[in-house]
Formats: sequence, C-alpha cells, structure tokens
Amino acid sequence: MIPLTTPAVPADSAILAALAIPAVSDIPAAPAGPEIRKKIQKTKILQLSGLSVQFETSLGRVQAADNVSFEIFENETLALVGETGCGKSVVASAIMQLLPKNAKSKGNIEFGGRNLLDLGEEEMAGVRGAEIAIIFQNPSLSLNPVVTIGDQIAEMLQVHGKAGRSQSIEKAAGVLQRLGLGERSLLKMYPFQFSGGMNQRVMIASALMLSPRIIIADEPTKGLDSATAAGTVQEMKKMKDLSGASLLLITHDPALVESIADRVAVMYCGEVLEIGPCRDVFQKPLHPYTKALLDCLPERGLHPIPGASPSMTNPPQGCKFHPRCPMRCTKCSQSPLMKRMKRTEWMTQVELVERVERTTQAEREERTTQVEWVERATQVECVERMKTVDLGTPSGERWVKCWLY
Amino acid sequence: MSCKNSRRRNAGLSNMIGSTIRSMIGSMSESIGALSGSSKIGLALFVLFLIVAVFAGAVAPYDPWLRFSPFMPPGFAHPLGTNDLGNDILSELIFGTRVSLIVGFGAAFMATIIGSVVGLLSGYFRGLADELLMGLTDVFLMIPQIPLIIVLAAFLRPSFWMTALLMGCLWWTSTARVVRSRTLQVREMSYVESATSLGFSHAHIIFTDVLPNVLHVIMPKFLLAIASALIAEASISFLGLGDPTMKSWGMMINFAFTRGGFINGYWWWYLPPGLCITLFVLSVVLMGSSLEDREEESRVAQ
Amino acid sequence: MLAVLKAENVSKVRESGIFRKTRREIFQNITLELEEGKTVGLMGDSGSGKTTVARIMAGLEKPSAGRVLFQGRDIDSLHGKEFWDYKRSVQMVFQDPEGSLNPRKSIERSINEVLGLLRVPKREWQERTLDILHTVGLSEELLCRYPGQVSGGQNQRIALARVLLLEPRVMILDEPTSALDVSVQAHVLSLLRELQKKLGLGYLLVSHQPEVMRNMAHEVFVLKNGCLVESG
Ligand SMILES: Nc1ncnc2c1ncn2[C@@H]1O[C@H](COP(=O)(O)OP(=O)(O)O)[C@@H](O)[C@H]1O
Ligand code: SF4
Ligand SMILES: [Mg+2]
Repeated sequence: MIPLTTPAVPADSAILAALAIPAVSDIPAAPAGPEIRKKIQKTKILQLSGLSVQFETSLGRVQAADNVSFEIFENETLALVGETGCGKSVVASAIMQLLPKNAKSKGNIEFGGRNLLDLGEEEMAGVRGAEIAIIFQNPSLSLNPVVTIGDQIAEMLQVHGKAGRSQSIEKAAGVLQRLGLGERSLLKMYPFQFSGGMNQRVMIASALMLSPRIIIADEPTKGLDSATAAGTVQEMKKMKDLSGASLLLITHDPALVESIADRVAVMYCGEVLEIGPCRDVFQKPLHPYTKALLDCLPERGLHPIPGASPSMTNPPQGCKFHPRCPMRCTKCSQSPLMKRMKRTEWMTQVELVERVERTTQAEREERTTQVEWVERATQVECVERMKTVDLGTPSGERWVKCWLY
Repeated sequence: MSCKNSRRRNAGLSNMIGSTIRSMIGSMSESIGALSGSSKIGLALFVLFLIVAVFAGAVAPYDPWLRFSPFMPPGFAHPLGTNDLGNDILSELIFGTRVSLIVGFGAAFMATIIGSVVGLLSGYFRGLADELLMGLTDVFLMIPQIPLIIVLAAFLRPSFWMTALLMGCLWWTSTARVVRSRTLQVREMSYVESATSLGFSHAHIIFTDVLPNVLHVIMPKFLLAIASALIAEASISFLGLGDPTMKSWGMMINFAFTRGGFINGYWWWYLPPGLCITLFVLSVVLMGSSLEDREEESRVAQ
Repeated sequence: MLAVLKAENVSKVRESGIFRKTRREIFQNITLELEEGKTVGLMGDSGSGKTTVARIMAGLEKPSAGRVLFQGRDIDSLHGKEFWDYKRSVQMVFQDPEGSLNPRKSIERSINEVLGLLRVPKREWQERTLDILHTVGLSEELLCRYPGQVSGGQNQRIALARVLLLEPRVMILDEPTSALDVSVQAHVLSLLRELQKKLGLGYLLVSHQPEVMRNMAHEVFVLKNGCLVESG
C-alpha cells in the first residue's frame, strides 16, 4: 500500500490511513520541510524506458509512442502534455496494459521491480486498480448507469477480494465523504442523477478505494466547461493530497498543468521532448516546441505554431518538430538525443532561446515564411550574445531532446 | 483542382437526387464491406436468390406450366419431382423465386419510400407537420395489418401487384418512426444549422444533408421489410387468397396442401418452397440485423 | 454610426413540458450592437443562454420579446432582396468542429454548393475555391477529403471558408475554439483576427475563457442571471 508511511497495516485501515489526516499517532504529518519533500520525490515508483508502441493500420504503421522515457516519483504529480493525437493516451494504455490487439509495444515499464510489459493477464489484473488506477476521460461513459453509486465504488474492493459488500460500502461512504460528498443518501443514487462534476468525484473515489500508488487521469477535464474543469482540478489536488499516491495527469491543456503539476513532460508526435519541474518549464521553456506550445495560450498572446501537426503514419525524418521549428539547423535532420541539462547549461541556453525569440518575434507577427526566419537564427550568431542570467534555483532535473543543447 | 474524379455539382433538383442515389449506392457498398461472418453468408444467399430470380428463364430446366407425368418423386430428369399436374417442381420453384421476390421487393420499396418521406418531413419540419404525420402513423399502427390484408384480398381478389402495393401502404410505419427519430438527431447537427444560416433551401438540405445521413437506418429497415412482406405473401397465398395465376412460393405450398401433397407425403412438393422461404428470410434478417448492430455501434461511438 | 446588427431589448422564455406549463426565463431585455471591424465578447456560465443570444442574432431562433435590427430595420420585416442581404451579411460559426460539416460531402462539394447557391458561374469556381482556401490558410489537397479525414482545426477553417464566400459583414462565433487544442485555438483565433483586419468583419464572440476575451474582444459583456453586464 503506502510503504512510506505505513509499513504493515491491513488493507482496510490502509485506506483510512491513506485518506485520513493523521488520526493515528505513528503516521508522520504531511511532509514538513523541503528536506523531506525532496527525499520523497527521490523515490522512483515507475520508470518507463524506451517505450515504443506501434499500431498496424490500413493506412500504414503508426508510431504512437517513440522511445518514451520518464519516471514517476513517490507522491508527485507528473503532467503529460501534448496536442490531441500525439500519443498520450497510448502511453497510459501501455502502462495499464490495455492496448488494443493491433498494437505492438517494446521497451521497459518498471514498476515494483517488474517489467509490466512482461506480466501475464492475471498478474496485470492484480496491478490494475489495486496499484495503478486509471480515471478515464468521460465519467458518464465510464460509469454503469444501472448500478448505484455506492455499489459502483464498493465494487472495487469486492472484485479484488479485499472486503465484503457491506464493509466496502462503508468504505465507499468514507472515501466519498473525504471528497465532499458526505450524505449517505447519495450512495443509493444513480450516475444520471449526478452532475458531471459529481460523477467525476465518483470516478476519483473508485480510483482511491484500493489506495493505489499511482493514479492516471486521462484528460479529466476534456469536454467540461471552465467552471467544472476548475472544480475537477481541485478534486484532483485534494485526491492526491489525501491518498499520498502519485498522479500522472494527461491533458492537452498546458494551462491546467500549471496549477497542479510538480513536473511536466511535453509530448509531440509520439516523443517526449522536454521534462522538467513545472515552474521551470513554464517560466523558461527550453525546447522550441514547448516554447511554441506555451505561446499558443491566450494569456501569452495566442501565437500559433506555423505549419500543421505531422501525420503519425509518416512523421518527418530526424527531429520530428523540424519542419515547424524556428530554430532548426542542418543537424536537425538527424534525430536528437534526450539530453540531461545541467543548471549552468540551461541558464545560458535559455538566453540563447530568448535571444532568438526576440529577433524573430517581429517577423513572426508578419507571418513571413519560416525558412528566412531560421536562416537568421543560426546558432552561432546567438551563442555570441549569450549571457548568464540567474533564474533562481532550479527545482529538479531537466531533460531536453533538441540539437540546440 | 487536384480532385480528378470528383464531378462538379450544382444545386439543381435532378442533381440532388442523382447524388442521393450515388450516396445510396455508396452506403450500400459500404454496408456490404462492413458485414461480418454470419451476415456474409446471408449476403451470399441473398445474391444467389437474386440471380435465380432475374435469370429464372435461363436457370430453370423447363417451363413451369409444362406437363409431365404427375407425382414423380425426385429423379434424374426432374431433380425435385413433379406435382399433381405434372409440372416440374424445380422450375416452379425457380420461377416462384421471381414472383416472391417481386412481391417482397415491391412491398418493401413502397413501405420504405412512404416511410422515409413521412419520417423525413415530420422530423425535419417538426411542429404541426410532425404532429399530423405522427398521428397518421399511429392510426396506421393500430390497424391489424395481416387480417386487413386478408379481408381485402378476399374481397378484391387482387393480383400479386395489388398485394405488394397494399402491404407497402400498410407497413411504412416503423420505417417512418425510425427515420423520424434519426432525422430529429441529424437536424440538430450544426451542419444542418449552418446550411440553414447560409441560406440553402429546405429541399437542398433535406436531400443532400439529411437524407444521406439517415440512409444507414433506412437500409436495414428496407431489408427487414422485404422479409416480412415475403412471409405475409406466403401466408395469404397459403390461405388461398393469393393470385392463382402467379406461382409464388406460398402458392406452391397452398397447392401442395389443397391437392393432397401433405396427406400423401409428397415431401418434394411442399418442402422446397418452405425451405426457400426460410432461407431467404434468414439471409435478409442476417444482413439487416448486422447493419442495425453496426448503426448501434456507431451511435455509441459518437 | 449605425450598427450593422442590433438586438434590442431581447428576451427569451423557454416553455417545456406537456401543455407548455414550465416556463423558464433565460434572459430579459438584452441590447447588443455589432459593428464592422469590432469584436464584441459575450461570456457567461454554461447554461446562461449565450448560445441562445447568438442564435437569435443570427436569425436561427425567434426572441420571445424584443427585436433584432439589421441596419436599423427589424429582420422580421425584411423581404426579398433585403432579406437575402441580411442572410448574407450575418453568418454564424458553430461550436463543434466535427459537426459543422456534413460528413458525407467531400470538402470540395461543401464549398462548391455554396458557390452554386451564390450563382457563381462554374468557370470561376476553381479560382474562387483556391482563393478562399488560401484566405483561411488551407492547402487544396484537402478538397478530395471528407470531414472525418481532416483535423478539428481544419474542419473549423473549412466551415469558416464556406461562410466567408458569402462575404458577410458580421459573424457570430459561438465558442468557435472551445473544442480545440490550445495550439489549434491559437491558429483559428489569430486567423479570425487577421480576417477582421483585412475584411473589416464584425464579430460576436461567445466564449467562456477570459484570456481569449482579453486577446480578441474590444468590448466584453457577461450574461449573468439573465441580465447583461458590461465588463470593459
Ligand atoms: N487502436 C488504434 N489503432 C490504430 N491507431 C491508433 C489506435 N489508438 C490510437 N492510435 C493512434 O495513435 C496515436 C496517438 O493516439 P492517442 O494516444 O489517443 O493520442 P492522445 O491521447 O495524445 O490524444 C494517434 O495517431 C492515433 O491515431
Ligand atoms: S532539434 Fe532542431 S528542429 Fe528539432 S526542435 Fe531542436 S532546433 Fe528545432
Ligand atoms: Mg487521449
């Protein structure tokens, strides 16, 4: 369950332990100083390395995930951002081993000392829900319309043989109460009697029932209006704090990430291009794509990325972003490697990127062709002007996949 | 422009209908492509029956009215034997396919056209038109259909064309309802709204925007209507109220029944038409229900 | 200056249930003016009636009270050429990108039918089509495809192209980007901004994102409890 705080607690009290603000004295209070926090974050619980997923389709081979590597630490929120169709859900399905039949995956998904890709269906069933839970996009489609809310949440425990019916309903009531749906009569209601936001909480509750170590939320706010979406984000935050689980938040909306995630991984065309602490990435995006994606936000001026998203069946050679990249150079027709950035490195590089940005911003407004733009932004010219600026302490490792670095 | 095979179309009515037919063919071939295992068998059977019906003259060994010696059991010269008048049963069966299928198709065609028009109009215009047309549909739904057909058949002694027409006029209600409910959905789509706000005529919108998106619910209904028309025709004929000059499958069973085929155990006389009816209905139902399933799936997927 | 389109003291009441018993007032006495070259933003919670206001101004729905004026004249009193003029000048773009094009018509046919509607001679069709595709920043290879085969943003731009062929003066944009990714939203919104500069279009932009409003609108109204509140 939660090895960090409770070494050996029976299943049912583990839930309470996971949810309760410490009622039992031997559970330490929520991580106190940055010291402890850092320690917690250092415990890796899931490690993806070189995960590739291919689909065979009538239109050709789709490389939906290409050499994806990232890790999730204990008790953190990692956001996976990218445009629709870039392969975010495929990564989630690969972790849960819920890929459709026409998918071929290779690589390593290490969880609890095992490679999830090697596990059989039965072993995987023990992991799903109990250790890694997933919350799907559309609550009204994922909930069974003819089963009461209480039974639906309680089912999680019964299926895994952890408790009987009345016991699990008791637990369900407890979990719902933590999420602000305290009234017991709600347990007897059906999903259609709930609003979208309430159903979302029901989904969250059933994900929490088995106190999983990782919760994956795939586009939890898609299709919700802004008020409900904001509410859902709050639920997610609360959920994470209550359960002590790690959260893998999958979304296409960078604005959502900023308010909730600790770290963020940016995905484009099946590849992860940049990983880093959320604050750093948002303040100083290093990868040209990250920068371009953030510039699309209304609060950053609605600057569109030139060109169109590449097709997944026939992606560009080399760096997949290069046809649209304002900073590409000759090297960019070869694939860049994911590079770990040292703090000093990325401070100077940030300057470089900013520099390129300044000289080209005017042209971008005029919508000149990207080609000219790139000519002027040669690396050499920019490097000359590099200056060291202090960005404060970076709060974690930073990885970038780009020839600029 | 880069589209080589695309034809320019203007907004004329004839073109609209032309394009509707094209998309009808398109949706038909699309449907066939999507058929699954058991329904492929259905399709194969269906096509076989169609070929037999169309080329009856070429396929049948004899003229069905030609007389040989009566009550011959199946043999080399007459694979299915002969009946009381000495007609070759296989030839009767083959020409009967044509008759039965014409009745089935005719009735289904009528029913589908009336039902689609009623459904489209009431779904598209809603309001008063909807209430009137749906009221009419309810009235027709309340009519006990088979008894009415029997009564009318008894009084009018109708030709088999009349039977087909009559059934068509009674059986459009379920098509109308399905088409209406789908039309109600489609007209809420923003492409219909946008066509309205761009200023297209109602006719244009109904023919090019609504109908093509409703066709896929019409097709299975059409197939199932063929099956029920065929069964009804067989029942009427069996009761002796059919057109005696046209030997349909039902009529063959009726003859076998009234002229001692059953009592004397001449199985080759009554079994083949019965089997044909069963197989044909099966083939149609297999196809139709698989189309309906697919429609259901695509709706869930949306 | 006379507003191109004006909603004057418009109210809407929805009646539902058997015998139209349940009456729900959605909004009352709303006055909104649209001018060429200007964007008026309309915000509000979901269910507050933004879309209804938009549809009333586009003439797709009748108000329960009040009137909509086109160049100072009630749209209900327009006939013949004047009505056509109104129809042409006021166009609407809808929210869902997938639904705004008929899935069974190729993109080319969707565009051509509008040219047919405008009685453009056939020999000019090709030129006009390429022209309009260029305006919305699409390539002509999309023409043979069907709406299901192009992305959400492209769908929305094709819908825009169709509308632009009519050379409207004001456009009513009902959450044109809320179903799109941020990157695609940026594309579509900056295209809209550009078109406004080039063609002097007036917009009624319905959206629930304050940041979008800050970037796009000259004037923002908020629909709250059935009343219109101005907010800068
Ligand atoms: N079952 C499948 N068969 C073939 N291709 C698929 C399948 N599922 C997803 N894909 C393809 O994989 C890519 C990534 O899809 P997805 O992970 O759903 O994107 P995202 O979640 O980022 O929006 C897309 O190009 C999609 O077309
Ligand atoms: S590798 Fe080159 S093309 Fe790719 S993002 Fe970096 S600079 Fe741009
Ligand atoms: Mg997804």
